[in-house]
Amino acid sequence: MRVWDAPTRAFALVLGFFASAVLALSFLPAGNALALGPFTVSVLGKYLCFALLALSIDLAWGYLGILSLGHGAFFALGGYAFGAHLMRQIGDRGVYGSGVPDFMVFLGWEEYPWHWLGTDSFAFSLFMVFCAPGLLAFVFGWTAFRSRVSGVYFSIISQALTYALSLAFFLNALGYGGNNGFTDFKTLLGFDLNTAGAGRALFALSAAALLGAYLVARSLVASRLGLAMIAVRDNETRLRFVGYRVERVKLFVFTLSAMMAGLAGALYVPQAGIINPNSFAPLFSIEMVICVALGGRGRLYGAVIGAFLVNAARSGLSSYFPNAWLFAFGALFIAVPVALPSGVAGLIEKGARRLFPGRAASGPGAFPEKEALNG
Amino acid sequence: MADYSPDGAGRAPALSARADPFEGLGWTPKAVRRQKYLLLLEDVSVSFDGFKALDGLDLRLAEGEIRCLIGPNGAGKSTLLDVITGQTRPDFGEAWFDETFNLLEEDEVSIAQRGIGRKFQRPSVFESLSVWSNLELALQGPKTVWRSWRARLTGAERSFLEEILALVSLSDKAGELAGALSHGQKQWLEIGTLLAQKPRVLLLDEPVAGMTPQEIERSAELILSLEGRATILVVEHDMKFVRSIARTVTVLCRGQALAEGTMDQVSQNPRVREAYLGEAAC
Repeated sequence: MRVWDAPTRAFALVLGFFASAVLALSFLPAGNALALGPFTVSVLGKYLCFALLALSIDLAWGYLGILSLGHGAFFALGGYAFGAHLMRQIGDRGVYGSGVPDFMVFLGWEEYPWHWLGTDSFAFSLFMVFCAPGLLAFVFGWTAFRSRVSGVYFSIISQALTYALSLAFFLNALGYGGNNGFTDFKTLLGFDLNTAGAGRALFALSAAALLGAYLVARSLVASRLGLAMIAVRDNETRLRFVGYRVERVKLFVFTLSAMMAGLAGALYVPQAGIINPNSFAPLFSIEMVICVALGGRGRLYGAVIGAFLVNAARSGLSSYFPNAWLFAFGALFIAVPVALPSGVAGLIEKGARRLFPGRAASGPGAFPEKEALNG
Repeated sequence: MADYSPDGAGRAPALSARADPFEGLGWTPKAVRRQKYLLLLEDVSVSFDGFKALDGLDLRLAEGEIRCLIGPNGAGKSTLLDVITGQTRPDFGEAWFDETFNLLEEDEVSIAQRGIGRKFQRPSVFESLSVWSNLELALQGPKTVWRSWRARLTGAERSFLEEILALVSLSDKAGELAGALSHGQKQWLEIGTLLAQKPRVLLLDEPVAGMTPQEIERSAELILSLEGRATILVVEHDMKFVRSIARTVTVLCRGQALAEGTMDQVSQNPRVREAYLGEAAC
């Protein structure tokens, strides 16, 4: 199989090693210096979800050249779709002991509104995790790509999309919890979410989802369709004369990428214990784009590295210097395109070329160094 | 082997006395077409803000022909190619491919899929793909999202692409990024990607611009070697090159066909001389 090539094996190996190490260390007794508590496991699990989101952004930005500054919207929609199911699971264990979530009690609602139909079914919710972001991306992409909106115009519109959704989800009357969103989850499929075991299981699921998404993405970019994707980035007009329907390529990959983002959101919610309209905020989407740029776009694994680096730096900085993070983030925003145009992955590849001259070539998706970040 | 040539000593043996040996066998002969026009443009007019880029142009290309299109700047040569490939819609007129395919009702993609390949004036290859990937992407075959995701190169396709690489002298560059090629090599790679589509019509817009004399000579050989495989329409300013490849030359001026004939005929034509010397005269 063409997908299972050297980069994929290396990725699977590193991810597998990381995940099993975390799981093994989480079983150590609490007193041990190397032991990882449930909180750390859930933090690392969230990093995996961000990595999955960054991967989905890289698929659209790094390969197709579509810079979406609103991918957080798909992440959040997936999160809300799954969060709704978790809310249904609370049942009458809420603060008010009513059959509906507490925020509906405040609204004076005694029954679930029509748009919560089906959320009590796990299978339907899982379907919606893919379907809601996928449908939005399909409709949004259909209108944008058909009218040949691209480049910076697409980025701005995608940002407006996520901002509009954040405003909508802040409304209490929408029936999705207003600015508090969904929180205080209890169980999932009968398992108590607030146990170390559930945390480990969710962590392992996130790692598996990341690997699965990587395999799908890799099979795309290693195929002839992957060549077409890079050709879209290079010169989409020319690609039409080669006989490809550019809009369909874009729409397919963009929708697939949105579904991956939705899955990331769904896995994020039970580990974070909360989903609120802040996930729709443009800042979050831009942060994820920075992750991809820092890691090195057009490589898939670069996005994963970037997501881990940025989020680890944020956790570290904001716990010691709470006010410093935004400044550091701004500095990254400026420094990365200038100092590291092909990201950390570019550094790694350069090092690999020096160590094994002639063997380690950068993939077909890799940007020629000087052209990175221009598109 | 018996010699059946018309003027040879041997004559083809006469068929049986019956008029049609296949009578009643479901294989009736059709009328013989002496000449089939693969590309037929009639009375095509295009205007941009009152400027008539094409003004009632007629063009007929027979199957297998190599035709050169010359003319001063602004004569409408590139606009003509735009009409054929579906980028520009004419104000009126007709354009048919293969007698039944209406070029004016189809978009660029279906026209390309139908077998009309175009090389642009500025070399346009996919620079961050390797030379080989450029060819693989262009390879003739179904180009839907799903089919290109599942596509694998067969052995025959691989040797076909290798053949093309040799034809455009890029065999040793297969793994290099197309962006790293020289200008002339990019031109050849673009021609190579057209060949990979197995086109029935090749539209070449200034294929030898910016090439060295040796490269030009090689390009002429390449184009002549395609004779019979594809119908070729070349737009070019380099008269020496045109003379070396063209059987028939069409001179375009102000959106109209001024003259058509062999290179010698058109270069003797007084109206053509006027068009090239004094722009206002035609």
